[in-house]
Amino acid sequence: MIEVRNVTKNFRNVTALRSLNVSFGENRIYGLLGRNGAGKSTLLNLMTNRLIPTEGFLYLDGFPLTENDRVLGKIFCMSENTLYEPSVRVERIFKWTAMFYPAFDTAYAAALAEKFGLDTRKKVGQLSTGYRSIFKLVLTLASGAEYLLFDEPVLGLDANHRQLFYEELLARYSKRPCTVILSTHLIEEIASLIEHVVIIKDGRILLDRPAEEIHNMGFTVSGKKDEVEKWCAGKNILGSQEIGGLMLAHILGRRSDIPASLTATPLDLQQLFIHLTNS
Amino acid sequence: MKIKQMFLWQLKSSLPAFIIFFCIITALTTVLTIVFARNGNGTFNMAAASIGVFFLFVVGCASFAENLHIAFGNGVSRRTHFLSFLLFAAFSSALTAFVCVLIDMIPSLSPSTYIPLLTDTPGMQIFFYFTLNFGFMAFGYFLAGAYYRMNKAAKITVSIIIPAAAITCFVLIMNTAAPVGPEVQPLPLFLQWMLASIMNAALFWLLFAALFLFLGWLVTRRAGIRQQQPAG
Amino acid sequence: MKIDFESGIPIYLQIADQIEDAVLSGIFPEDTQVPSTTELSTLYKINPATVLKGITLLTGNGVLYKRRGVGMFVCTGAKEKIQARRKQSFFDDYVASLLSEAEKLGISPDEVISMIKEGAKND
Repeated sequence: MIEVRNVTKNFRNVTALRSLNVSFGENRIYGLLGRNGAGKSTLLNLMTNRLIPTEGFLYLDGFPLTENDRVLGKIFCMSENTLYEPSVRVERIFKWTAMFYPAFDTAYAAALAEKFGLDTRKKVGQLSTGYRSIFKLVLTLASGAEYLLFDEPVLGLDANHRQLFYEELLARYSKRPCTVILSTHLIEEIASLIEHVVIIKDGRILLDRPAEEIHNMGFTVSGKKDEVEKWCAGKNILGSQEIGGLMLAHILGRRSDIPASLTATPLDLQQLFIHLTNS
Repeated sequence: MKIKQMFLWQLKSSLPAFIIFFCIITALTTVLTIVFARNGNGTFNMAAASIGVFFLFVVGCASFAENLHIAFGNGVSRRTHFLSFLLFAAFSSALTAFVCVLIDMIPSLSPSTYIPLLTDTPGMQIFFYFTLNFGFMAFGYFLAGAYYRMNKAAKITVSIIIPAAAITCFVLIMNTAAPVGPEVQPLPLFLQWMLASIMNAALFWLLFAALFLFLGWLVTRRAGIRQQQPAG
Repeated sequence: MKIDFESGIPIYLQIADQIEDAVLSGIFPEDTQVPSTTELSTLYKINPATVLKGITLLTGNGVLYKRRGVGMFVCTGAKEKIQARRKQSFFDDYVASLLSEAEKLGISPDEVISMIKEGAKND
């Protein structure tokens, strides 16, 4: 389990995370969601020792994580930045990674590269944005680590490759259970993959719940404007839209008896996310 | 600790550069020795060991960001990254000193055109060049680290201050022989002591290395990845 | 088989329903193996834990059973069990909503009955 305890991270003039508390349990698939600049990458970078917290501590299975080689070897993080020199060949990086991660599966990496059509003899600098993502995905999936962190995993990938990634991720997860953290903007695509949702807003945790509960968290009611307004009074309204005399209201909370004149539809993760994170 | 892996990685990734460097210097020295021996006039000394110092300075500069990123990408701490650099710097300084002192012996095969740069024993020379190499590698590492950590304004300031300081030092060294005011007396005295024997000079470069390794650790200790910072 | 992520029905219930449908229509005959959790999870790109929850529901209902080390199989008599259970909920799921829709349109229950009879004849 990775625990983040009261972590604050300040950059020169910006506070990216404010005394944040969250934990990621074993063998689960997490969705880490947030708008641009919410602090997702900062959190992932802190969990992999790529940044040092200004305040607070991070633990893995109870051991301090920062500057701890033994513990850090259990985590592999696919980052937004490419950490390799552009002049190095992909196959060489596979070899290097195998040196640092003894559980790295070279045969699996080669098989994945072939499935995605990644030419491992190419240099990192020669890869397109999509293939750079694919290269990092393959590296992470094959790393053999117990915690796989993905920061924008499908950046620049076409629909076919995205589907292939989700399939391969689930296959890897089923074969060798591990903790997966997916940080992405494409919420709809991962909604069914994840077991648990963590939403960050302005460097704080906004929501931390099992994905199943999301279905019951909110709903949309629609009907005549005055009736909707009357019924919604005193309820937690996330947002509303009006078209002519018709009104849509997005409500946070469990669905209670709704009069026959109003229609209720469920609020999916994407809609919930948009309404929660709208400022 | 993944010191071994980090060390091996540095060795593997920089081995071609070392081999190419040694080959070029050896070839150049051999060719020039033959040319001078044929002509029979003038004297020749390649000073390969001094060229090696600059080569290692560049290696030191290149060691910071690339190694740090490899460490970040592979779950290696800053501490291990720094220690592995220390190990690699010591190893490559010793290797380069050894090989370059050997290369510098090539011109002595033609005694008529050869004047040695240093008259000390080869062992002593290797030790001296080792300390010089080590010092400059540490210096390069620190410079690269400091640049990595600095923002734009600091980079510009430092880019002006360092050359200015270097020129001042150079002027001071050039004026060592000439008597100057008493307030700067200790510095020329120290420089004279340093130039008195190769052992003193080696000691000086070891101190130099220690200073920049310490500064190097300071810039490494809390170095972070560069990420797109959130606006506002 | 198709999972509808926007229907508001929990995904594990949809999975369970669809396996039951397949048993009813004979796609998975009794005493044969059904796809594994991993296969279903990668096919629909759904978290394995969610799929497992659906399958666990079916083992509790006596539709599926586990053969250790082999996989999940359809129970004998599963088809009748599903039919019996679904008949019970048929009234709530279909008859009740049929009557309420008929009321909105001003169709009397007698007219509904004759429409049903007509429909059955044409079939």
